[in-house]
Amino acid sequence: MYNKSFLIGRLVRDPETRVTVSGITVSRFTIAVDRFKKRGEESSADFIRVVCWRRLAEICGQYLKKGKLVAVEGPLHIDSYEKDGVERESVEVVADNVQMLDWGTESVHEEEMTERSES
Amino acid sequence: MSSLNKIVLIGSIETNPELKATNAGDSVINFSLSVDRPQRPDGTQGGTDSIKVVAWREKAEVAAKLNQGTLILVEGRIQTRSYENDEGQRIYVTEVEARELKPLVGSDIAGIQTATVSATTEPVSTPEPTIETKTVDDASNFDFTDDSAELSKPPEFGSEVEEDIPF
Repeated sequence: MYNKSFLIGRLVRDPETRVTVSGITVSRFTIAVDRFKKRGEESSADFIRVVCWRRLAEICGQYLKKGKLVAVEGPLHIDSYEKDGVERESVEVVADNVQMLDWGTESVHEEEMTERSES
Repeated sequence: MSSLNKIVLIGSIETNPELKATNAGDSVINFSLSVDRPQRPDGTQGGTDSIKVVAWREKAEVAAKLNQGTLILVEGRIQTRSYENDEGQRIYVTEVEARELKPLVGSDIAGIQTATVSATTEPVSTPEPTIETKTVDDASNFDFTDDSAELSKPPEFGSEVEEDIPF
């Protein structure tokens, strides 16, 4: 079995980064991936949720901001959970690689923000 | 703006897919693909993702021939959309729109191998060879006394003639 996605898109808002009770950092954000647009069509996008863990989550929480262009690579995971007694499903890409594609105006580093997560 | 949206999945079909048609007459099919996660470091099974897949037209026809449990490769894009259900709630859907569907080993259903459709393998009409008649007229030093059969082919010009072409 195989599961891998490759996405390039812009952060819709700042990432939400927190630490779980077991002490693992997790960062979540949504990216807008532009759809292929034919001439005359209105532009539209797919909004895809991304989650990353541990060191990668720390880096994402530190450097990623709303509007930044990123490349994300990882499997698409479906998890079900219960909220208010209703069974729900979360669909998100678990990033094992995130690369920032524009540093914006506050560019201070030339280093690549690539970090393989341990999983 | 630069963007990329690509996903590759290998998994088994959960339920027999059901082919439908839109009002416009396009065939469409929805099914869930069961994709096992890799084993955890301690050797236990990592769980399974049940991923919604949608396929249109020729790809839908291919998927309609597949049975539950068939191992297939799906290549496509992640699509998000929303609709309002009967109770007025907005429902958000994230699914994979298949660009390519390929049954893998063990799915030896008759006709499937040849019916595999890729969006990129649509018949491409080979462009007619364009003969620049104007250039032929200009090439006054072209030897028309040559074997007439040669003229049915685009004439090959010497390098000095090529330099005369005004572009």
